[in-house]
Amino acid sequence: MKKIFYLISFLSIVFSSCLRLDSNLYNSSKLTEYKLDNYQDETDGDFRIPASYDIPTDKIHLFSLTSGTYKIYAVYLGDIADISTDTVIMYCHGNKNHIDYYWQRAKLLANIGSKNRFGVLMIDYRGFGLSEGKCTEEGLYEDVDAALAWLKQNGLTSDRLIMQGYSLGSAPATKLTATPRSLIPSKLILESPFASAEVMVQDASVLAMPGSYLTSLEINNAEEIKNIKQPFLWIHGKADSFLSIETHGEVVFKNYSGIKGVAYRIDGANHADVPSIMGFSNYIKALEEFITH
Amino acid sequence: MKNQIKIITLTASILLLFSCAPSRFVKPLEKGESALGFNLGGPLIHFAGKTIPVPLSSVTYGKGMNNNSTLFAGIHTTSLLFGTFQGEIGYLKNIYTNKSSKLFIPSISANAVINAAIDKWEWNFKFWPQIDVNAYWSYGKKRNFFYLGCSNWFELSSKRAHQEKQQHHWIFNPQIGHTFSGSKWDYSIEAKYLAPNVSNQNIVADYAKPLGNKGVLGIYVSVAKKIGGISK
Repeated sequence: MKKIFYLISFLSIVFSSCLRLDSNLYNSSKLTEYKLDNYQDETDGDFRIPASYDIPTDKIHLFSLTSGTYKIYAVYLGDIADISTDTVIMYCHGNKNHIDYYWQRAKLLANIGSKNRFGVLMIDYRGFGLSEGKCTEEGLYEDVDAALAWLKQNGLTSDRLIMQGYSLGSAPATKLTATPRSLIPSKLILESPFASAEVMVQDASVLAMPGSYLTSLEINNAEEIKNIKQPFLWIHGKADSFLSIETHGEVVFKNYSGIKGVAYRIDGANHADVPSIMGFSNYIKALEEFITH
Repeated sequence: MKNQIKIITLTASILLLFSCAPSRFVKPLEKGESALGFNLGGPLIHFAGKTIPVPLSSVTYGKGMNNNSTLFAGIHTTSLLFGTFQGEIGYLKNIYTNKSSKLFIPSISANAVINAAIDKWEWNFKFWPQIDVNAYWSYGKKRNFFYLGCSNWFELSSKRAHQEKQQHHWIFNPQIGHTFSGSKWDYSIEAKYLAPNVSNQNIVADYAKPLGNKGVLGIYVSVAKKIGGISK
């Protein structure tokens, strides 16, 4: 009897553990300062765009804004005074490091059409770079929405907002397009998105295992996309070794039933190198085509 | 890119814990004999510049029903840490016993196991049948044995997340192991090639892939305390 009591007590204690994989999704690192063009460490996809894509320093604005109780950092590429008339891309970066790591990507977007034709806003989610706090799923949404609120304050209207998410950034991009808060994005671009946390679990386990066995993340682009009617552009590397194009990207694209869906499946591209494998000029041309038509 | 997933690499590897544990029992216990075992190990992953087995753990208890069959149950202690109870109950039977003195002829045993899991977060319940078949060769005074076999998991769901088709319904895991058998304790080491019929590409986990693009190698050690039974 005693043994059974001990066994039940042990199981109860252990079973009440709350180890979850959730926080592992965020692979942030802190900074003491942003270096942007002077950042010399590894970049996402390990590519650096040619100098011809550089953005004039007077069109680079580093600033902070408040999201909930946290100060988070952002960089705007373009003229802040022109936000009231410009089309702006809200760029939600991936799960690693900070703004500097994704700086090359942001600069590339600022060259769509022509240099600074569109404004580009990128933020560091809470816990990333210089941003305060610790990243959480709801924090992601709050932080991106805080950035949208800032754009709105500066005169942006929903019809000129393009939402773009890359990898982890596909979660806030999709969520805030499906269930808008401060602004309603007019178009959605997802690069290398994931379908859901459950697909990650099932890809790794091979089995049709419930995601709740290991994670409480509710990120679910594959379901959220069903509520999106705005035009949607999806780009994914066929050789994505992190988020499989078949189990993640294709599912998201298949579930989209809005007015216009455009897909680019890039031969030979892995998770992070889609722009370089596609060719920088081809990449921004594809985005320009989508944004302007 | 590998850095991008950092700890996900380790923890996602844990995901495979559900289908990978060492063989619970290969050779039947004697009638009335019982054994309490602790198992540690898992698929090999790259972590912090090294290749290590994921330290998954489980506890198993078995009882010899007669000299040819053993009833056993186990709990995956690592999954408990995630608030998920995963247990198993199984029955081992010797389907061929080598009674001759020819050492090269193996005895053959088979396990029928039901693995079940439920989490405390959403109370999702799943179960997976499992059938293991092993050939084992006993030798020496202490009846140590070497074994070769295959563990087979069956995924019964036709759909996975988002109503997509579940691609793999049979996951077979060939294995090789050795048990050092003492009068009170058994010590085992096992290498298992997990899911060699399944691609190990394009998934979040950074498994070691010693044999190419399919499957994952797992390494396990076990220790079991034997209780009762007739002394060998």
